[in-house]
Amino acid sequence: MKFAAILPALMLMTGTVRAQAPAAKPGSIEGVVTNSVTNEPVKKAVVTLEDTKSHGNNRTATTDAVGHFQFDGVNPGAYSLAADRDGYLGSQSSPLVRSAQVTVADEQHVQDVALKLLPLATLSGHVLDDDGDPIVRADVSVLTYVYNQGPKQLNQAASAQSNDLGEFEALNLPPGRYYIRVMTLLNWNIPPHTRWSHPEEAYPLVFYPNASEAAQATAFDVAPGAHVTNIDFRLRKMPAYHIRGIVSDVTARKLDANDRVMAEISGSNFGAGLSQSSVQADGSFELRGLASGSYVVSHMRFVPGENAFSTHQTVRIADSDVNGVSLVQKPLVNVSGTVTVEGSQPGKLDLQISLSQPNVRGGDHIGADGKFTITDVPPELCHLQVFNVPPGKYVKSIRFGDQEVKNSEIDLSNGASGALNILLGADGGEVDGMVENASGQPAGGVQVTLAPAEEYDGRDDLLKRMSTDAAGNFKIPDVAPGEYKVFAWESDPQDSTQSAEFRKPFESRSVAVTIGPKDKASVQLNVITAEDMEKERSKLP
Amino acid sequence: MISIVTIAMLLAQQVSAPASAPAAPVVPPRVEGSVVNALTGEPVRKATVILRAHDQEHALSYADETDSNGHFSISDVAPGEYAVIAEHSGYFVRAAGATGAPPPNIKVENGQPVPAVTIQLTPLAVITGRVLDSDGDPVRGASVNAMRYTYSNGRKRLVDFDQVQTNDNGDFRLFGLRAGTLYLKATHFRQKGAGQPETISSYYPGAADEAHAAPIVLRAGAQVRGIDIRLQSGGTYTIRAHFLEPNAPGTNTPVFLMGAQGFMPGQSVSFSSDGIVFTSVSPGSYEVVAIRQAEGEQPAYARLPVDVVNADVDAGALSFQPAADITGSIRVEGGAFNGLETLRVNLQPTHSGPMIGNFTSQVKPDGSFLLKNAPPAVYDVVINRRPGVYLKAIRMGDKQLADRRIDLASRHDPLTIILGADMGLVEGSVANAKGDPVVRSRVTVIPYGDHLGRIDLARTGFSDEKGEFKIKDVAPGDYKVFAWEDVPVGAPQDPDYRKPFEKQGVAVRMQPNGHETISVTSIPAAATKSDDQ
Repeated sequence: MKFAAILPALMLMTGTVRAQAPAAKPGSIEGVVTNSVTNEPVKKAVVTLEDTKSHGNNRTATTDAVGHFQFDGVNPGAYSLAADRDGYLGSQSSPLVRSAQVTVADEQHVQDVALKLLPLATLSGHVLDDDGDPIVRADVSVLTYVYNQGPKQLNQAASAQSNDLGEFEALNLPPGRYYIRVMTLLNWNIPPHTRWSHPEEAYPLVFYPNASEAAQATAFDVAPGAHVTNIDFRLRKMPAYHIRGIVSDVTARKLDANDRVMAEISGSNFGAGLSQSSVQADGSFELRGLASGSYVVSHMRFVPGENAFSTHQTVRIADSDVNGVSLVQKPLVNVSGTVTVEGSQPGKLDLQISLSQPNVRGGDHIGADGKFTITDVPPELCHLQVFNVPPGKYVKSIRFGDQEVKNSEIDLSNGASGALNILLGADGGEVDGMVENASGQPAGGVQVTLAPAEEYDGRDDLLKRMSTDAAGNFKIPDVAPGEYKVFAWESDPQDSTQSAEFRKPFESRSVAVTIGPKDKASVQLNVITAEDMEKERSKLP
Repeated sequence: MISIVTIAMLLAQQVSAPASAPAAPVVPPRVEGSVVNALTGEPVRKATVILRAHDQEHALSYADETDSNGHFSISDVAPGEYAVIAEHSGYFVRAAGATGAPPPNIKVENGQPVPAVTIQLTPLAVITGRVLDSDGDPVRGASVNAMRYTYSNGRKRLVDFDQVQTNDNGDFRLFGLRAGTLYLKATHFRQKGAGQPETISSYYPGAADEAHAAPIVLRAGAQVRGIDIRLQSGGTYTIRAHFLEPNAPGTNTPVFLMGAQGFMPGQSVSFSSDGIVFTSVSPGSYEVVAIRQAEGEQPAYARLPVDVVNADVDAGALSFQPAADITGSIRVEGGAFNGLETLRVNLQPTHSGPMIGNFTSQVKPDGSFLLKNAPPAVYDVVINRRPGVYLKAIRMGDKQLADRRIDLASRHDPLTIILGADMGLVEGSVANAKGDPVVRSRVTVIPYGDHLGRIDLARTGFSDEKGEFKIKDVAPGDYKVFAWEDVPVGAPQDPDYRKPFEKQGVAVRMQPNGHETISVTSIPAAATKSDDQ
């Protein structure tokens, strides 16, 4: 792994230490943590007491056998309390877990603070063969539809592997609708050219109970804290086929033992390699042991110190071998360009530009003259993102060659067809406003989303998010001139609101604004409740 | 759907049926036999039996699945030699001879019946138990690692080889385990409150460190129950460090803590103007690492080793040193070698701690290489092994690096890596004290003299069915050759392990392109008996 890849993760690990507030006449806070489904006390829960004014200065206490916790020596002020415990939904991860707000006056002893923890669910069962014998080390995925940045997609919520008895168990699932999929990896000890005494067979990919796709599968609607057992798969082997083809490399590089071809399940974005093949010196490969179905066949090469790359193609097996698959490896692309700031000299910019495709990311710092080069980008349709736009500026235009890039997609499948020029404007507008809840009260701490018109979907720099202050006010500066819809969401820990598809049904509750250069617009918004958002999510298949 | 599948299977059977009917006058060789449980002698059904061709990338191999009587039958096998392998989850093949000896061979010849093959599968063991917290309450979602002492690079180390998670009741089940001595370690990662992660680990039965871990001795096929691991949440401590010089504005300086297992995600760190504080750190050996990345400059690294025992630690000052680029070239002496571009130069940090990144350079066809942005540290320069060449010497400028080690914290010149292509051959025979040939023993060629400690020059082979061996690619120099009836893999490379057997090694001096023939007396299995057999 390249070192640069772990840097972004490290940068998140920053924090600040603040001086302790001057001591006043302290009070105390005590209460009980209970299971929100059974109402039973939860022991060994860790309760975090956070001073709402100075975040980061937290104290913790652990509940006793009857779920009781206590904080002594609490200075007067406003606090929020949240509880965490293994097997319960984390306090930071869901709108379904609410923190308690408590105000402590001089020498006040606050009692009976009630914190509820939502229990997580467990799914378990067996993976067995036709005769009821266990299938060992089968990969079980628990999948659920989510709204992410793009349209809804089937994501992996948990995974498990069957043991020697065929048992599997997936822990810590929030309530929701799940699909369960099992697959078995091919035995890689079988030599590449093997003749079986019986027709070659393989286990197909199966969605519970016996479907080849999620659309035909049985969904599990899992309640909080549920223990769903006896999810038993009976897998039957199917005739297995081969995929044969050629890897050709237009960079004229020699193919060697580091070149591999792999078949993965179509539509799974978590690298489930089912069958692998070496690549012969003439580029030929042969994947075996694949049941009928759709696969992504990719050529990969990984050598430490070399750039990893891959090229892939979808191949469908329908009851026969597939021959003549051609995987053409094109050279990696270098994309050069310039960042220009309207009305000012080029200077040092912390701006970050990234071109990415699943699993691969290129990025570069920008030189003092505004010039940059992003090297070794895969020759595919890439997603362009611009981060760290400096305050007072906005991305006014992105041009790739002679094309304006609106939705952030750049096609590099035939190389870089021109320079990537990014213009930062300084004449951005401003949107401010106020958010009210259903009872007409100011809604503090809710999230406001400023969403650009549909044709700019995918432009993360244009989709702005901001929280309201305690009085329900917000202000979004540096807005690129254009048309927007403004939404206020009670809470969005799953980032669903980044998806235009998710926002669509809520558009009637948004406010449309048009911002010209240096314009200011004020809007009045009503908060969309977490409950309504959950209702929309529950329509997911 | 199902009916279509059934038809497809019937068709496939019809198509293959005529091929298996004997038509030629010469009876095509058929390989058959059975797979049995080595302990009970009972047949193993649904085992996969593979006849693996020697040239498996090109020649045809064969496979079958055993029936309910453990029987298999493979007809129409092309003449040749095949390795016979059987597989079934829950079992492994323990081939006769030394551990790691290649699977037995069968020879298939036209018109010659092949004697029936019986393959013994040794059942694997299972360990079940629970992970409990210090009050005895079950811990769900904890990971349980199975560890064994193994030898690698001439050193004995406790190494993880499997991991499972506890279920909702804190129960775990480790399966597919070979007989031998193993150790268990439970680890639980939990949120200790908002944004405050905590990792607790304990060795079975509740020990804080390796030294106090209790061994579990497993026999083949054993079902060991009731192995409960008590997670002792020992204290956690704080590590402080500070920057020697303040950071220039506009630079990006991530600081992180590396543990023995590498980068520790979720470790809580806070910054003040000149200080860094890591809280909730469990006892162990760590390294505080800071990276400073200024635009247009090479990254600079600061590293501080720190041991947390039973108190907070001030690790001291982080002082930055720039990363280095190392250039060099490779030259081959004593013969020709085509394929410089198949070589890779790798820098391996000499301290056993964590690695930051992987510093490897592919060698260009002209023999040149460039290693970019390596953090300042002491490294062993390593070349991937290619048949036909060995690492002979490394020079920096005109100085020979005796230990092939470079210190990037001090001044460095381009490297010249000299490979030798003048390797020789050792062959001979292995006999026991009575003079009988010893088949399938592990023969190790261990460097002595000037090459003492050069693990990369050690060579291994096995004696064949006649007790003879042939080991290629032995670099010129002094060696001792040992023959082991059985020995843990990698152990002969460990000087401590070899000590009691020094006298049984046969001294050999290999000349450039030499050819030595020797007789070796085997070291009996009883002398090296470890419980891993």
